[in-house]
This record gives sequence, structure tokens and C-alpha cells, in this order.
Amino acid sequence: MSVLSFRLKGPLPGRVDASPLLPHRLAALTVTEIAALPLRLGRGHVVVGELFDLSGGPGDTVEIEGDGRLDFVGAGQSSGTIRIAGAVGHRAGTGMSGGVLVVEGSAGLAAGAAMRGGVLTIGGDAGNELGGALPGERTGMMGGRILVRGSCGDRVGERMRRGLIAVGGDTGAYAALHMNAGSLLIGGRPGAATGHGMRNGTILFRGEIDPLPGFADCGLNQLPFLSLLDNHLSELDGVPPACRGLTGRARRWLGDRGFGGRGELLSCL
Amino acid sequence: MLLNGIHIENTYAEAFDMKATRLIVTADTPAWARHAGMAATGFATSVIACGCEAGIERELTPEETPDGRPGVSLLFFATGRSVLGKQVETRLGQCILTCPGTACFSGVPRGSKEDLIPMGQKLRYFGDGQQMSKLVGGRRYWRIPVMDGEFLCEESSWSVPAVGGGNLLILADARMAALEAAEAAADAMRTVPNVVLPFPGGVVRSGSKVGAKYKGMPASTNDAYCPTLRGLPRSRLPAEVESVLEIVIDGLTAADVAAATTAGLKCLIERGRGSGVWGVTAGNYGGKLGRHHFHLHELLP
Repeated sequence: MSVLSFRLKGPLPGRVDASPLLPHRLAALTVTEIAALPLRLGRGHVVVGELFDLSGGPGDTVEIEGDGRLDFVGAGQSSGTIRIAGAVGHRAGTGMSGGVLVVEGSAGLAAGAAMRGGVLTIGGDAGNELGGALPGERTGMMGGRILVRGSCGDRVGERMRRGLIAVGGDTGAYAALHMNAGSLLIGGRPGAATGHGMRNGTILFRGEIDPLPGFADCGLNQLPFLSLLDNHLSELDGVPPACRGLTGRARRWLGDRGFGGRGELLSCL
Repeated sequence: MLLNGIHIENTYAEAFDMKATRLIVTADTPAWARHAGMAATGFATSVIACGCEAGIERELTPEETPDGRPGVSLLFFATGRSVLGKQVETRLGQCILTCPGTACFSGVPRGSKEDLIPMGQKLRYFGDGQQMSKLVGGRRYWRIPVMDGEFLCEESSWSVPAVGGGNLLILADARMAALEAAEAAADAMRTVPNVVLPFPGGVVRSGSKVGAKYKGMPASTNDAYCPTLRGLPRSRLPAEVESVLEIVIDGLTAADVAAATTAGLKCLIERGRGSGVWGVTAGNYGGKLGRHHFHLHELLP
């Protein structure tokens, strides 16, 4: 299994679209061809070789040195592994359908937006719209798994339909806005207006919450599926420890009834 | 052949291709898992009139079940996938859903769409719109609100090819001797994985032959092995045999049925002639009905 590494020659001069650097696309090219690939830089273009030193050979794994201005990393990824040493810019893993994208640092806006499959792991924090919907789209995330060790911004899991998002830290406002289905695990504190407009799906968190008035308090319950979920999480790599250890006992709110929803907020013990 | 004083007849058991599935039922305590398992596999002795044949394969420790609670593993056998699906659906709905604290999972690997046995997929409508589904690790589960909390049920199971109708006939000097021998053999055979003995206690006293003198009777008493008729020309019983009991075996593969047959033979032979057992034979239909033949002389321990 060969690994192709991209080392930054210096700080990026502007925002770069890294979406062409996908393992399955690079596997068919030679290192020289890859070095000559054009990348969008701001309003113009630049070739890969001008920004990165390449080493190793093309295969199913790509390692990239991260930068906060490197956008669209792993966008549309369908197979293989991309490992980022450091941070990434906006829209990492957008529309991803398979493979593994590991960001060791933090991610910018809309990481994993409109994801359909695969695994996105973020070692640091994530910005707004993590696992959210692309502008104008009726559905957001439709599959796959997003695991964030740190916190995330507003509107995580907006219009989510399927899949799992686990955030180890706090989430911003409007988490799971208009959620259709799927699961959002929050290891820290959920922000304001969590679950606004949700129709179905599950938001799990620890501790206190002051839910929106559209949520009906169903009290403490023993939910057998929580132990099943916990078993499943224990088999996965990179799940934030704060999201683990579900006992099966949880306080349950149903809503958002203002939108005819019957999703659930679960405050797990 | 005479082994330890026991006649082993040179014949074979004839068994049929069936479709089977395995369900894992868990509950808060082993006793409640057993209650659900007993009810769901009740009235499931023979496909002649029960629709399916079923039994508890074994009890499961919390470490062996998907949700970490004690459970039982149940095997269901039927003549085809659609009959099996219908039987599982009604038994799941009436016997497992209703039993306090249970959850139900598929116990077979994911199969193709043609082999699908609906579980939660049908049962979810009991939730009357309040049911929720969860996709965990690629498998879909339904959560149905019930009066003691929530019934968790996997969306579907799958049917797998199976073999049903393996059997042993135990010929004994007296009724109690036959009963004790059958009990011991059934206990030994139950330790074999992937098999169930669908009859009460694993034992049948009314072995049947195909057809009858009366119209509309698909099966009737196996008169060749009825001791009260042993003076008749078609009787297969020697004068000293006063009681015959049969053990029927359903298994997921022919090898499983063969292993159970061997376990039963081993137990009976070890007990010896002194236990009151005169001999062991097997039931068949001349070899024309079933594809699987289990020759006793080839399956000796």
C-alpha cells in the first residue's frame, strides 16, 4: 500500500481548492502528472508542484500537510484514505460518499456537508454547518459518520436525513435544525434552540438543557437501543470519549411539535 | 448390527430441504427471555399442521447478545420462505412483542432480498405512527413504544437453507425405559449447535406415516411401530419391544443433523442394553421424498 504525501512549500498565498486531490483520481496518475495538476487558487490557478513537495507513490492513501486556507479537502471522496496533518479550510469532505478522511487539526465551515457515506474524523474543532446541507438543498447529510473530538459551531446536522454525527465538545446554536432523521451525539453542552424544527431523528447529549417550547417532556425512560448504540460506538475508531458510556437511561423530549415533528432529545445519564 | 447389546438397524432417516431462520430474543432476565422463547416456539412441532417447526437452540449469555442482556436463540423451520416469514411475523407479534422487556434480533448473516424475513418491518405498524427507526452499524432497528417502555426489534431477518426431519426411533422393552432413553438422548443431541428438536421435550410418541385410509388425512399413525399391533404382518417390531419413541431433528445443514444423530446414537449405545433399550432404527419413506439420507451405520460414534 503506497502513500502519497504532500508537504507544503510555505504558507498558502490564498484560498486553495484541494478537491482534485482524491486518492482514486490520483492513483491513475504518475507523480509528475500530479505535480502538474492545476488547483484553483483564489481567482486563478496554480499547479500542485508550486505549492507542495510530493513524496511517495500514488495509491489508496494521500497525506496532506494542512493549512486553514486549504478548502474542499476530500470533497466528493468515494474511496481510499486522506490524512491531513494540521487544520483544513472550509467544506472538507463535502458530498463525500465513501472512504476515510482524517483531519488531525480543526476544520472550517460546512465540513462533511451533504455527506452520503464514509467517515470524517476531525481531531480539533469544527466550524458552523458541520454535516449540514448545501445552500438551497432540501436534505443535508444522507449517510456516513462524522466524529469530532472538539466542539463545533452553529447548525450542525442541518436537514440531516441519515448517518451519525458525534461531537465530543459543545455544539453551537440550532443544532440539528430541521433534522429529518439520523443521530447527533453531543459530548458537551448543546447550544441554544437545539432541535428547532426537527421532524424525526435523535439528539443525544449529557446534562441539562432548556428545550424549545415545541418539545414535550416524556420524562426518564430506559431505552434498550442506547446500549446497542453504545456497543456499536465501542467498535469504532475515533469516537470522542465524551460520547461513550451510554447506560440506556435517558430523559426524553419529543418534538419539534411546532413543526409536527416526533424526533427526540435524549439527555443521557 | 449389535453394539453394547443394542440392535442398530441398517437403515436411514430421510430428511427434507427446508428454509430456516434464527432469532435472538433478549430480556431483562434469563427467565423472561425463556418465557418469550417458549411461547414463540410453542405449537411448532410439525409442519403438518403448525405451519413451522421451531425450538430454542440454546440460551445466550449477556456477552453473546447484541444488547448485552441475557437471551435465547430460536430456530424456525418451514417448507418455504414465505410460510416462514408469515409464521415468524405472527409469532413475533403475539409472543415476543407481548413479553415484558424483550428485544428481538436476527441471528443469521445478512442475506439477499429474496430471502428476507420481515420482523420490525411489519411489526412497526403496531407503533401507530409513534415508532422510530435507527440505523446502527448498517442494520435497521425499530423502536416501538409499549407499556413497559420500548420494544426494540431488528427490521428483518433472512432465511437460510436447512434440513428438517432427521430422526431416530428408540425401541425399548418398556414405556419408562423408552422414555428415559429418549430423554437422555434428547439432552445429548441438544448440545449440538444449529439444531432443534421441535417436539415436546424433543420426543414424539405418535410417529406418523404418509397418508391414511381416510380421505383428507395427510398423515396417520405409524402402525408398523405401534406395539399394540405387533402381531400384525406389517409390524416391524420384535416381540420384546413394548414401546417406541422418536426424536425428530431439524438443523441448518445436513452435517448438523448428522452430528445430532451421532450424539443421540452415542448416548443410547453407551447406556447399553441394560437400560432397557432393545434397538435403534430410523424412519424413511423409501428414499423418494427427501433428498437427505442419514444412514445409521455411517453415523455411529
